[in-house]
Formats: sequence, structure tokens, C-alpha cells
Amino acid sequence: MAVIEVRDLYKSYGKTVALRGASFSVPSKTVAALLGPNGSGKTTTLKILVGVLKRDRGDVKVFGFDPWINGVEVRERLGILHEKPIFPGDVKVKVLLKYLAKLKGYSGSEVERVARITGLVKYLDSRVKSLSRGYLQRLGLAQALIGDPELLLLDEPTANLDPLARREILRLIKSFQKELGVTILVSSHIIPELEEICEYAVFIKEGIIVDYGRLEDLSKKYFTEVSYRVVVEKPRELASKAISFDFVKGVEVEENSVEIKVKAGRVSELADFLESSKDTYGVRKVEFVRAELGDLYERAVAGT
Amino acid sequence: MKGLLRGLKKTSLARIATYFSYAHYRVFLSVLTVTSLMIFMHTAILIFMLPPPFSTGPFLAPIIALTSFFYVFVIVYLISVFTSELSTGGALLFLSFPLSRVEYVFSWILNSVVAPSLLYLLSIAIPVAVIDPTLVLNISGVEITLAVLEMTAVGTVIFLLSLITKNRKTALSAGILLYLVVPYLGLIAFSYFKYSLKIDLSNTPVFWVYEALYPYKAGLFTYGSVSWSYNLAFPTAILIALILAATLFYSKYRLEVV
Ligand SMILES: Nc1ncnc2c1ncn2[C@@H]1O[C@H](COP(=O)(O)OP(=O)(O)OP(=O)(O)O)[C@@H](O)[C@H]1O
Ligand SMILES: [Mg+2]
Repeated sequence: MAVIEVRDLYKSYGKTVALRGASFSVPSKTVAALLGPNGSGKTTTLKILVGVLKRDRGDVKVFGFDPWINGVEVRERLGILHEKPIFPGDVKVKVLLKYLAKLKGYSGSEVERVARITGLVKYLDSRVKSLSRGYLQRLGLAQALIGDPELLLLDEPTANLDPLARREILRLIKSFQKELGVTILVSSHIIPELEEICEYAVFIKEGIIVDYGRLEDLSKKYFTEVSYRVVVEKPRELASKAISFDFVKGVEVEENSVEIKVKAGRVSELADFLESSKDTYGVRKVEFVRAELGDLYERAVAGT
Repeated sequence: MKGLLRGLKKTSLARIATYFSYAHYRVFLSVLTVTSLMIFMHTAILIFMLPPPFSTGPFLAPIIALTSFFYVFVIVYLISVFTSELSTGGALLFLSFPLSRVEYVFSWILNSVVAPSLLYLLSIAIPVAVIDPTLVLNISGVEITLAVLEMTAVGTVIFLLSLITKNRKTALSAGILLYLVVPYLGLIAFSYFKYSLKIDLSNTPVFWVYEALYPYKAGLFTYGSVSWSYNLAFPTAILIALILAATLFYSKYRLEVV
């Protein structure tokens, strides 16, 4: 079932048209990337999803509810990290989080839980204005995680961070997906950094959704480079054979698997090879790892 | 039982209480200081300057005129805090939680207009009651009620204007204009017409609007020709209800935060 359903969405700010007929959906328990250049309408989309902006036209359903009308029902089950969030500076981190938790029906122990997850424990008694950018971003994540939401909306979670903090935040997001099993929609205009964490993408350009879907399907559709992990009994043997093929761009041997990177548009050749030599190497499982997201994006956008 | 408690925690009232206490927590000390100061001033003035018994007529007028002139700045200040929260991200944070726009705005009306008006009421009613309890029940009860309703009515108008414009400057200029300029200019104009031009405007729509917004000052103006009673409060109560309805309507159907 789709957690987010958007149909033919329009939104203007005065004369500026931000969304012009956007349609997409995000299935449950998926990490989805919302990708598009500056000003393409990512933030506007997310703000409509959380119910703080009113759409001009179209249908929006989050958990089956209209977020503008049934905002409380929707927001009880989601958490959002806004782009450039501004928090009241003169309150203590702990106090702010406690009031926010209370709105979701939770108490102080929930504040401690989210502070632990985001590494904010040391700063609970600090005033918000004394936090550095990186820690403000952690505060942003912490408030989004209150109440173990089923859906997380993250608007450019790594913007304005140094590389170290950026990696740390991405690692955190990755761990939410693994450990908490939530649906995540994360926006970015820095495409490669999401390659590691997302399995689904929504491409937006000038207020229109160019395409969306699972990366595996999209990479087949647009013939881009992809990587597969082959769980196998004889990883070394498989790897040395695979690297000799023209359609293989690279291999990486792990303990009981091989990650094979396939050149653009040549997945079927890999499939044929694995099918024919299944028994030779003891192939157990083939799973999609990642697609070349930047490439995918460019091809999807170019096709419009 | 636990489920019931959880249910109660999730009602609209609980959310309003939570947000109200957060918004109030941030301004609590300044409001407490000003209110204590008010109580002290009202007591002092009542004891030293206007010793009872004054049992007829609106005898509190000089005190109220003096202290409310300063006290309305508390309301205007709080509304301006609200507008800056609307325009700089605080509202976005809380409205991204299970709190509806109507609940959010309602909490802020309570915090910036209703609560300060009630505190003003207490700050003057308590000293008066201590000096002579019978006064509160009749003549000065009407006075205090009208004065506080006036404060509330004007406050809700400023609040609505500030909500729509989301602009701190609007809050400040509407505050000064509607609390400190218009009511006195109105009185001067009505007196000028009445005494110099011998034209009585008190039965014209202009005066009715003035009377609804400023029942206390209008009451003082017509004192003697109109009986001094709680009836003077009705148009203002209706006006407040209408403005509140408009405010909540706007919050529900129009208010967007970015
Ligand atoms: N509050 C606003 N008032 C007026 N125009 C706005 C407002 N917010 C966004 N816009 C305009 O709407 C369009 C879409 O903006 P939006 O912020 O949704 O894009 P975005 O994809 O999030 O961009 P970025 O990557 O820069 O964050 C842009 O042209 C922007 O200038
Ligand atoms: Mg944006």
C-alpha cells in the first residue's frame, strides 16, 4: 500500500508556479529520494505533504488522509525535518523536545530515546541557540523521530554541513531505515549522496514529476549502470569469471557474495550468464544493490 | 485506564493546553513581573489617591486610564511575538506536529490577548475588593468589566490583522493606533461635535462601532444620559465573538506557514 499518493498537484506562490501537475506515490517501508535541481518544487511538495501549505489543485493522500484537512491524524504518524529549520533559540533542548513529545502523547523518556539515537544527550541541557549547525541538524532529526513515526520526511538533511557531519547524518538515516523500518522520503539536489541509502526515486523538474519508481525498475527502463549482489558458494571463482566479460564494469568479492557492477543497458547479459552457470558456482540469490543515480536522473530528465 | 489516559492526552483540549503552556512558558517571567507591578500600582493609587467611599459613578476612570495605557503594551508585545513566530519558523515546527492550525492560533489568542486581559482584571479587582467588597459587586464591577472587555476586543482585532499579515510591524502599528490613538481621537471628535457644534453623534453608526470597540470610553462619554449597567457590555461581547469566529475561520481555511 502506498503511504504517499499525489495526483496532479498544483501550487503557486503569487505569480511563481512551484508545482504544475505533479503525480507520484511512495510505497510503505521504502526509502525514497526526491531529487531535483534548486527551485524544482521539492520543499513545496514536502510542506504540502505535512499539511502546512494548501494546494491549489489536485489530490494528496498521506496514510489515506488529506493532510490539509486531517493534519492532526497525519502528523501523529509522521516526522519531518524541514529545510533550514529554525528553532526557538532561548529554550533548552530538553524543554523544547519535551513539549513537542507531549503533543504526540509522549513523555520525557521519549526525549531521552531520540536524544540517544541522534547523539544529543550531552546537549539536552544546553540552550538551542548555543548548538552548532551540525547539532542543530541532529536536533532536527531528533524532533522528527519523536514517537517512532511510520513516515519520515527529510528536506535536504545534509545541507550546510561539513563532510564529516554530512557522512554522520547519512549514516544515521541509513540506520533508521534498517532498525526502525520506516518509510522515508528524503529530498536532495546532491544526487550521488543518496545513492547509498535509497531504493526508490522521484525525479522532479520545474514542478513536474519526470518519473518515479524503484531504482531497479528505473535503471532497466533507462539503461544505466547497476550493481547486483550475487550470494554464491564460490565467490572467488565467480568473480574471476565475471570480470572477463565485456559487460561487467567491476567486481567486488565479499565473504559469501560478489558485487557485480554492470555497464549501462546490459543487465540481461548478466542474467543470462548467471542463469547458465547457476550450478557451476552455486548461486543462491541475486539482489539489486544500487543504480548510478546521477546517470539515471539525467536520462530520465533528458527523456522529457 | 492507560488507554483512557492516552485518549485524554490526545484531545484537542490537551493539545491546546500543551501549546499554551509552551508559549506561556517563554513569556511567563515578563508577564508575571508586569502583573505584579500592576497590582502594586493599583493598590497604591487606590489607597493614597482615591480613598473610598465613592459609591456612585465610574470612579476608577483615572486609574484605569493611566495603567491600561501602559499595560496594553504587554498585549501588543505578545502579539508581536506571535507574528515573529509565524514568520520565522517556530510556527512551522509546531504545526508539523499533531496540533491543528485552529488549536495553534487559539492557544496564541489565549496567551496574547485573553490571559493578559484577565490578569489586568485581577490586578484591579483584587485591590478594589480588599478595600470594599461591595464595590466590586455593583458600580466598579461594571467599570472593570467594560474596561477589560475593551482591552480584549481591541486585542482580538489587532490579533486578526497580525495573523493575516504575519507582520510584526502591523502588530505594533495597529496596536498603537487602535489602543492609543483612535480611542482618544474619537472621544475628542465626539466631544467637539457635541459641545462646540451641538451635534450629538451618539445615535449614529460611527458611534455604535466606537461603542462596540471601546465600551468603557463610550460609556464614560454618555455617562448620565445612558444608565450605567452591564448592558453596555453586550455589543462588545458580540463583537469579540464575531472576530474570534473570523480568526478561527481564517486559521482553518487559509493560514499557511512557510
Ligand atoms: N515562500 C515562497 N514565496 C514565493 N516563492 C516561493 C516560496 N517558496 C518557494 N518559492 C518558489 O517556488 C519554487 C519552488 O521552490 P521550492 O522551495 O519548493 O524548491 P526546491 O526544490 O525545494 O529548491 P531547493 O533545492 O533550492 O531547496 C521556486 O521557484 C521558488 O522560488
Ligand atoms: Mg528546498
